[in-house]
Amino acid sequence: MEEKKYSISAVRINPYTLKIPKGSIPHMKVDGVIYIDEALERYLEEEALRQVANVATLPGIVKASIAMPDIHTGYGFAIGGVAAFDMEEGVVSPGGVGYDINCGVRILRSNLTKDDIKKHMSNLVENIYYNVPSGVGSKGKLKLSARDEKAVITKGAVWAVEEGFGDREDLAHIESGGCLEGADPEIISNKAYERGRGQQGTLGSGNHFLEIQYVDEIYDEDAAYKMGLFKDQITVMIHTGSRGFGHQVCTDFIEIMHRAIKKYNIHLPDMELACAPIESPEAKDYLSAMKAAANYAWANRQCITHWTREAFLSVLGMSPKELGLKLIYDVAHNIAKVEEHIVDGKKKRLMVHRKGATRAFPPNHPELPDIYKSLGQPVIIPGDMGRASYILLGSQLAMENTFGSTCHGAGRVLSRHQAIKRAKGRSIRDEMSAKGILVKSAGRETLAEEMSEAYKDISEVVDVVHSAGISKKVARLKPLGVVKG
Amino acid sequence: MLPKRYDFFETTGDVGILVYGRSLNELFQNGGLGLFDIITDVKEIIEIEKDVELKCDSLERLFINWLNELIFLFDAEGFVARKINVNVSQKNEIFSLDAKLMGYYFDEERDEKKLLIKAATYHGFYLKENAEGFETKVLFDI
Repeated sequence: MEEKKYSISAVRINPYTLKIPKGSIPHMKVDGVIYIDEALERYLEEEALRQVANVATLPGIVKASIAMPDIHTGYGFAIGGVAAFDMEEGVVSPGGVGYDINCGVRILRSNLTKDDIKKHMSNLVENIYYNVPSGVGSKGKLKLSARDEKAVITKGAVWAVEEGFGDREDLAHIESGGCLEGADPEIISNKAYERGRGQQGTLGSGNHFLEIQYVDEIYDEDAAYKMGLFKDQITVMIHTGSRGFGHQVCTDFIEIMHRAIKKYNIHLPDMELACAPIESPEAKDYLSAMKAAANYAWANRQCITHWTREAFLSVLGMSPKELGLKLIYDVAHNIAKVEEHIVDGKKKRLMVHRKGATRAFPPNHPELPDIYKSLGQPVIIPGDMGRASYILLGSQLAMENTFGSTCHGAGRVLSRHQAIKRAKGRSIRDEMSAKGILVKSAGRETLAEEMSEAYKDISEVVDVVHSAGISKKVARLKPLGVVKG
Repeated sequence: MLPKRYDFFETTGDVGILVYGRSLNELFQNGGLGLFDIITDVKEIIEIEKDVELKCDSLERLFINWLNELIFLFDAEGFVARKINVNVSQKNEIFSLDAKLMGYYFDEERDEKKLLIKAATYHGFYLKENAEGFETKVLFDI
């Protein structure tokens, strides 16, 4: 394959890694490192490459500005980006987390097989569609009082469980236990509260979804067994985030950070990288508000889980025990966290930003719950609605090379308009149905925009992180029923 | 014939607008109308009126804040504007915007669901004067 040329310097250092050497653009403090093979490099946009280099210019960045194989152009930070900052000299950037704070994915296992629910699929999809609000302008079933909303943002999934949405057992199966401490309700704007009030327990739109899937292939029998997975088993995947609440928090703080960069005399190559020193009041307020939005998202995925369980129970007429629809894990893929990592042989606390990247901690990491201590952290990677999704495990190499991070999804290759054009004269619903996948969506063009061809093949992306050793494949899941906004 | 108000453009993941205006007021008005055109097929309904007032020390940031204000009104209240009148003024270093919005509340059963906009971003953003008046380019996070 001929080497791809870019206007800034990028060198392939091994089959899975492309390096943007320090100096490729002015003021880079570290190298840029992109985990990508030659095959996926065909999709790599010049602008995304530049964004990885831009992030390398930020104050206090440590080791490298990293990107995953699902990289594509974002705002300021590339989607698929990981950047860690020194706690004294570094910065916090809302753009390094994104508008959809704690957008994330969770996966539930069941006691059912594909054959058990074949004849119920249509009822299940309909029932979930009507019980989990989705789409543009949709209203949630929960009307939160001001007091409730404060409880949501300070307690996260714990609030949901206390309100009867799911079990206490679920909490140990969520990154950070489904709650980040230190969310101050006083920091949040009225606008964020207003946007959030009616949207708790809603799926949203765009690439967010709820899927009924089955385990199609197992790569690691032992790990799959320990996670309660088996071939042909039914699983449920939920992909959504902090909805309007988180979008408003990010909007509010990008404006605040624009004032902060003047105050702290920070020079940026792109205004969307607006940031503030970690110790500044602006950064502290942002982190507190970000935690509130992260908690809102965990509560959201927890409420949706509860209604999904209700739908299964009512359609199949089973007991919860028979159904066994239990949470395997829930991961955030848009978040900033303080974590301990080894840099130049020394333990250091760092502010790790993951923007479209998933935490992938190795076995025995202190932040893992007991159930996953020996295995490592489950990583959930959703693909497009027609192909597949994956369950992986975090690894020691991720800890050493990527601040304990891996990819988060497939990433688009076609714009919405291109996808709609390509879908002209076709029925995406019928094509999906011919493949044995039932879909239900709220938006007029959603199915065309979200069709498989609009995305990279998730298997290619996952193969890169697996081969590079920054996570390990456990199982592949295939869709049977899809609910979209 | 009225001059063109706005064009849409796309990146792989998102959607944006190129907005034109013979005056600053028209630029802000057209930006607002273009935004609602991304969210839904705006209907010929005027039932509700809303006032928006904003202040900012930069015209560029005022424009982004204006769009984010409209995103807020849709997302929090379901408000869709059919008609927008804007008056932008400058006193010393401060730009002020006074707007009257006329429209209706989105009805999930009745109205077309197009795209959900999370926010107006600064990515590739510009606002400039040209021979015909003003032009701006804004990318939305979808």
